[in-house]
Amino acid sequence: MEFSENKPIFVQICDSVTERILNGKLSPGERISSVREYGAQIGVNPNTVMRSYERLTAEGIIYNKRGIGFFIAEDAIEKILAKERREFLEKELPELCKRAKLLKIDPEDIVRTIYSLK
Amino acid sequence: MKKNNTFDLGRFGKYLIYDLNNCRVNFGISMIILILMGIITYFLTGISSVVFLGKWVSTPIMGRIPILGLSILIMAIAMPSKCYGFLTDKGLGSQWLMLPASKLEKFLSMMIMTLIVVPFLTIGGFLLCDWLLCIIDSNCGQSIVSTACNIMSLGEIATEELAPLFPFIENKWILYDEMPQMILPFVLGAIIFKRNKSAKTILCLIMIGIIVGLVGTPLLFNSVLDGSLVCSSDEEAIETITSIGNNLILVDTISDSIINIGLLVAIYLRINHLKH
Amino acid sequence: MVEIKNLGFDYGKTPLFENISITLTGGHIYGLLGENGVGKTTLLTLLCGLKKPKSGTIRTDGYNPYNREPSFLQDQYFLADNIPAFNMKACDFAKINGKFRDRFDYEKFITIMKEFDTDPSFMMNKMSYGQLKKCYISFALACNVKYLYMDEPTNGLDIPSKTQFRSAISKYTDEDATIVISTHQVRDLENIIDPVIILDNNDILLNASIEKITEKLYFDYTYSDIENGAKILYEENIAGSNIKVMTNKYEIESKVNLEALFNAVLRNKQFIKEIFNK
Repeated sequence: MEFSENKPIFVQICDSVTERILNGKLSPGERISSVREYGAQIGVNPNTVMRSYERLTAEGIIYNKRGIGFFIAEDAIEKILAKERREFLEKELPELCKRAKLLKIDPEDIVRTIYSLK
Repeated sequence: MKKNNTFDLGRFGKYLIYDLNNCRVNFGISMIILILMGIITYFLTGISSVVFLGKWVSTPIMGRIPILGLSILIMAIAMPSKCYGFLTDKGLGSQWLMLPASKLEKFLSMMIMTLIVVPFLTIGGFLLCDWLLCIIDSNCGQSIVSTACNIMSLGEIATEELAPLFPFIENKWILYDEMPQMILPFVLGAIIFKRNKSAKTILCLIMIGIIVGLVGTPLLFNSVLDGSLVCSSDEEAIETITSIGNNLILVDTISDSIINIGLLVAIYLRINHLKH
Repeated sequence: MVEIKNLGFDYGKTPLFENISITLTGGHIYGLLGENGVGKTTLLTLLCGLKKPKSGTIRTDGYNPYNREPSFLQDQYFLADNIPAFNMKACDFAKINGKFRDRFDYEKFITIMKEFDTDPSFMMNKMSYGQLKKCYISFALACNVKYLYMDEPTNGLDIPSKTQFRSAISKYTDEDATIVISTHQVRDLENIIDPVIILDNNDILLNASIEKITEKLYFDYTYSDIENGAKILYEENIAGSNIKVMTNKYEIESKVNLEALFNAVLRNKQFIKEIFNK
């Protein structure tokens, strides 16, 4: 796995897992690789993978069945979408608006473009 | 079940097999050559006698015994450095140090290999070849083994020729006494010196011999050297010489044990404090 | 657990270590970084008992390594940089030497060799240095020891093998094992080591987990000149890529770059010590 430099590794691992859930490569209820297996696959220290899994568990996207492994939550997709929507509305959108303001773009143009892209 | 850290029979057994393999790999071929020395010299003697004398001469027992002695000597000098010289090498020595066996087990195995297994196999093999040779070629006369047995058991008159065998026959313990004294210095040399182990050991032995001679001779023969020894009669002279002789035997016996124990201790300490 | 207290060692006049104290706990893959000659190999040989400390003590689970007791040696494996090649097949080497360690797993050795694309029935003295290294690495991992010390294990490995190595370390080591890997090729161990120990002349400059490092330091890969009052510890601009290591004023987590970290620590020794020992 190639790691980009804009985010910590454990965050990139979280992103990779959520992406695979969203595009159907991982299904709700399915078991994901153990910390060690995954670490071995991507060449990363198991502790780092553990941090990712801990964050994903805290967000309710995966859960741990003691002695068996980590599984994708039934409502993982909804949770991920909700989280990403929140992030979009709270971070990315304000950034966009700031930039639009800087460039003195008319809000009407933005709305028209959004509809045409649909 | 926690194993004893000083000695565990199972672990010792494993290590012994490992060490046997180690000696086989490092000295196996050399040992076979030494065992076959008798046969090799038999053929060399035979062939050169055909060339120079026109007829085949089989080596008599007087010719074969010195070859045995030579084999033993070469074994004593070469075997320790071939089998255990690797301890001074950084890579191999480190691996050996890290092998999970106790210091005592490693030491005992080394002693068993160098003092018992290899000598017995070499000498035994040689005598076996010699015995086979005598069966095949009756011109060789009696084999070394049967000659020695005859002298020991039947008290047969030992001729002048067989003088070299006397020490072995009189003192059966020579193998446990003199042999370690021959081999152990070379074991110590093998694990102390990094290069030219045997040569340096021989040099040390010579130097020690010189020093002991320079120091010991005056001590033992003081009365003889300073001319104060005056014997009034033949009986007194014989008495004096006999007592000096007895002193020498005493010194020899004690020094043998001290030397052997000293060498064993030195080897044990060296193994324990080997660092890489 | 390995406890090193007031360790001192020298090779004659100049001391290599003076009063070094550090504790290593299980479940971690420690990276021992440092320039050549700084004492990485010496430290590892002291840890496994090949050398004796001149002062101070080392205790591993209560054992003194220098005593070389079998029950201590059993749970440990030291993979040196200088590895001897024997006149035997790799599989035979594994079988013979594996007998001394109770937890040795021969099947595991074969499996890892396969993953390294190295034939176990190959004669060791006919192998290239890289293949021989992989043979020893496979054996080391198959011993399933509690304490695994590796001195420059990626030396001599080609790039695909280095990737295989990273994967093997993650996959085949015990969860509770204490692993110490030394290297001066810092890039080889990227993403796999945690915590990071940086050794310098006479001193340990850093001993911290990746988490703590990202807490105290920020790694900036952009071209922005914005420092916002953060102290820049190291900056590098090579062939189009830029990296700055600075104090983490806004407590943002970033991706650690080991090489940049190493350079930053070497150039700001005292400062690093202060911010990490608070």
